[in-house]
Amino acid sequence: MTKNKIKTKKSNKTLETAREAGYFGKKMLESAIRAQDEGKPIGWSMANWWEGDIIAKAMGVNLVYPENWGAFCASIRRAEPFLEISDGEGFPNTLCGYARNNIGFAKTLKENDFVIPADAPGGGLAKPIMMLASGAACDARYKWFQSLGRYLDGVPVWMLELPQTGAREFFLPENKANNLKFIVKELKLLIRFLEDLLKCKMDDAKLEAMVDQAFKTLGLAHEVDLLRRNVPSPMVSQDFWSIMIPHFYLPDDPEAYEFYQRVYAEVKHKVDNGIGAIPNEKYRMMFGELPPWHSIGFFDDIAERYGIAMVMESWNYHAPTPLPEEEIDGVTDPLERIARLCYHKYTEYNPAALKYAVAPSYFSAPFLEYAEIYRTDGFMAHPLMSCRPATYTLMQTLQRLEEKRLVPGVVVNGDIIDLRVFNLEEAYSKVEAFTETMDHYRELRRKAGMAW
Amino acid sequence: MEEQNNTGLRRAAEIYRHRGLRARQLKEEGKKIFGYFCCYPPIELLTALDITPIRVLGNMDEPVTEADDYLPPVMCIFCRSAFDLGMKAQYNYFDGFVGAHACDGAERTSFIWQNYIHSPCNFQLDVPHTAHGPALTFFKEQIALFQKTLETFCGTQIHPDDLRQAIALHNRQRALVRELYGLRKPNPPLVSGTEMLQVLIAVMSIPVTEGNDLLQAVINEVTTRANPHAPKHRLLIWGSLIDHAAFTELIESSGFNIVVEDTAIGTRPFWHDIEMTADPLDGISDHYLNEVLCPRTFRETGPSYQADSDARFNYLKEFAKHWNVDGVFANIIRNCDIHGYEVPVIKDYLNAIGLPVLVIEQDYSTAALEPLRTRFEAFAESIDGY
Amino acid sequence: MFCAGIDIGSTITKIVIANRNEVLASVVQRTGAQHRRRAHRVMEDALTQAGLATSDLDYIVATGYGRINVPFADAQITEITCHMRGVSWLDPDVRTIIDIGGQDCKGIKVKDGRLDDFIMNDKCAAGTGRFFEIIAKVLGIDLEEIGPLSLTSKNPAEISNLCTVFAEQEALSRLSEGVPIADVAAGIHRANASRIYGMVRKIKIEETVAITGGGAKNSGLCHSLQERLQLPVFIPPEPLITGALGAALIAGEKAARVGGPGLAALKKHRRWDAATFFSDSATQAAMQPTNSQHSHMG
Repeated sequence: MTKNKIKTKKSNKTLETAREAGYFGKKMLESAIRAQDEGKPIGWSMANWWEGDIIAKAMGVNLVYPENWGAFCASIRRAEPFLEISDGEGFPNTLCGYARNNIGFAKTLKENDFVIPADAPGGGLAKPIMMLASGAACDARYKWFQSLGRYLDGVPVWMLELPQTGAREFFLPENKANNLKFIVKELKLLIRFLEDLLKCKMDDAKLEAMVDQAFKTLGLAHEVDLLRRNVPSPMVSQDFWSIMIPHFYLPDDPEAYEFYQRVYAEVKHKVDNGIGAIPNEKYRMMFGELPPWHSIGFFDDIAERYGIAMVMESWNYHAPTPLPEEEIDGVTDPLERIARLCYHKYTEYNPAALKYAVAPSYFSAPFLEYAEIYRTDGFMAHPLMSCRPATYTLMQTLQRLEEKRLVPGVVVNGDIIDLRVFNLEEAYSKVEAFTETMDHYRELRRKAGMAW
Repeated sequence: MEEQNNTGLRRAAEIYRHRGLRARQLKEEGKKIFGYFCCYPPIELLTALDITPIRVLGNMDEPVTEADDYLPPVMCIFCRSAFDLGMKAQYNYFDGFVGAHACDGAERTSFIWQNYIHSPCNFQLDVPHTAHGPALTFFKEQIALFQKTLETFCGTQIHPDDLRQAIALHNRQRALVRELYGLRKPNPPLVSGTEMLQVLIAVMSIPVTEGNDLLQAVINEVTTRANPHAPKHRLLIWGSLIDHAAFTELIESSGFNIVVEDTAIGTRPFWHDIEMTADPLDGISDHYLNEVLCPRTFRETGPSYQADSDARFNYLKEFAKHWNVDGVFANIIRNCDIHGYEVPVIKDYLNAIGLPVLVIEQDYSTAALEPLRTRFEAFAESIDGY
Repeated sequence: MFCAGIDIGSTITKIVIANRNEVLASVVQRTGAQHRRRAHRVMEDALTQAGLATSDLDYIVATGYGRINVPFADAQITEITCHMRGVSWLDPDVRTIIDIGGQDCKGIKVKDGRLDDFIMNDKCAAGTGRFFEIIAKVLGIDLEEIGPLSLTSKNPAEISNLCTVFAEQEALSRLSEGVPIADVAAGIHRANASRIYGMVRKIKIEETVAITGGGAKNSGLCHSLQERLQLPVFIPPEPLITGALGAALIAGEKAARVGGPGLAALKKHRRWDAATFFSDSATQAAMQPTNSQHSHMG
């Protein structure tokens, strides 16, 4: 594969704290490599919305996230050789780019007798003793780990269930209780699996403390999100893609909490002083699904050229709104708390899903609410050639936003890893034309008496 | 319906060609029709309420036009086609729609379907990804909610006896399909892959009792006619479904007789009977979660790669043995992740038991079929020992 | 015993006539769209070269894209099997064949002289003769020049997209940036070699590797492929005729199996009229500019 000639610089984070966030990605990779040296257990995990990874960590497993590492490889343009290996193994090249990257790496690791090659991006991923797959949001995230059996022979995969109820079904009596009961029972099975594997017992007090910490971090991360409602927006997606790492992967880590305190302070300061993340905020846009990690500088360019601030991103990567008091009051069992958090995360936009006929509550419906909360002028849909789960509902989201919220959308094709489809020049011209569309719809919203 | 021994296959072909015809007739007679996605919704509940279940399929012969604005081309192209037909009002006779979380494609498309194609009754069935104990309990609860939704819509309760009778009727259908599969064991098989495809799609397009009559007629016909098929290499198809006879005709005119299809239109919905349990929902949930063998369900990893493959694909070894299979076609509809991730594994496994595998990622379009002929012929030649 | 193999490719028809294992004639003629129906004329040329009459041919095997309805052929065998057979006969050590044709590209694995595995791409122009024809036009040079010219480059240009339309644009924009034609050509060859290599490695490349088809006549492409392969490469002296050769060899085997009386019967039914092998739908389908349609077996 030849390198793509996209002449963008790396993105400019507008927050000081966002520049520090790379530390957390490094911390995860380094602690796994250190764990390998010390003979401690290592796990590969899918992001699972804080459902099972906290439990594995409480049992002493050092987790690394191949999805996160995949985005990292893409951002430094080191994914291509791994993708080629995966293709050569006979895996279709239409599969998830993160998966192909990880499959290519796993084969390399096996061929090197499980010694990480010295030049592996970010120090590479240490060989795991288990893999924590997830059924939430995407099939790739269990089929991929299952397929790694060819290279990580004998490394067990645990498949973590997270039910995904429909929008109408959410309101059926009993359904919520059934869902919660199911999640808790599955978490108990996960603990049993880990106890058998590690030959040690879960330390309940430790788990409780970690869940406490996670709730606190996520609450604070949500507070930061709320500050983004302000005009001008105090931070943008270029910042968010960095600062999300600690709350998405390490909310149980006190360092992550401290980090968010600093983020909050910085963002709050900007809000209080009316300082926008970009100098001349003219348009506020939302971004649909994962970004082109290899070309994040694109967002700086459209900020500079057209005054576009990316003020909100997919529901996927954000902390949920805090659980209502009545949901959590008196609930002390950490598994029950995890279950309620995850269920809430996946279902909280069901009223919007029905109201705007834009089910499901995940991926699609939240944007219809964000449109107003974040006072947005437009939606950028980024259909991903290798991530179907994040792309299936993108066009209906775009249509419903235009139809129900008078927020227009623009489509820019690309991928999280693969460089083949993203065309920078085409993207600029589309966005340039789109600014006029946003002007037009702003007028339509005003005539319709909408709040923004 | 009146039956003559020699008309089963012709009737099946007719129903296959005009899939919505019978449903529309029934609708005019005042019967209720429900559409469902993939082989996970328990259609026994529909039959118990005298609702005719119609399987939602795509059409390889129809260019996708309407779906483009909703499902980008990089999505599952079968789902795009099915949704496209829906948007073109080809399923506008549905009184209800049952979506299922069979895979990402089926799940997301089911949601979008319900958002844009309005049926009076809708249900989204959440199918767990594992066969863990709690998953089975949860799935049974989901089915109970489905039952309640149906009962509310129809204004009647399902009597347990009616449900048992519906299970018996569908089990009878499964047994008849297996009997028909048995008639493909001889060489040459008594039923071709194209005939089988037409019969199976036909029974998914008419009420179960009519389907059973049709199956019986087909069995009578093929066991008494002079076998028109010549011996050729015996092919097992694994993977994404095939729902158009143009594809099976291409394969069977390229040196093969198709003898088994391990797909969502072939063996998967029919291979196992629902157990008559005290609470019928126990048998139903066990069947649909544990016994429908699609790689969308995560089965526990064994202690080794080999053990894991053996546990997951042993049934293919049985098929290969009993149907005397010469080669396997791994059919991947482009962008089918569920089967795509299995390609190297399935090749490892089948090659190890001495079966050659032809893998094709195809575009689910009759216009793109002819270029595949060389691949099938070369595959046949390699089995010939050229 | 006289046998013929006729390989009707998308752009070129190739015929080999053999007497057991001795090649008597080989003919290569362009058969563009309008000439496709002239296969029997090409056969007449080959027979003249061999000094034979039509009635002398004991067995004829047709292969290639247009094999389906050659009225005078006694059997059809795919070009995949025929290339394998032809190349194996020329060099029994070959394990992997990369056949680069006008419209498609194939990887073929050989094991003990038999077809072991294959992979082909016939939907995407990248890595096929068609692609180089288009690019040569963009560069304003003859197709035959593009390979040798690329070998003079010291600094191949970056070409990122192999979708024909984009590659054309990219080549043009490199030229307008002042990049020398040789460097653009070298970049194009490199990118195509990468694409071909990426496809063929799915069937596990083993030495010796042979390159056949029109692509084997492009020195620039062979050079770039060899760079990727890092393995010895065998290029047959007549890389276009390996399919027809294999077909003729298979015809010989078939003739031996059928025997005298059977062959006489076959000959009686042979029809020497024009071939009608390209149905419009099949041709259109092959021209669809969608994703490449990959397949492989093992």
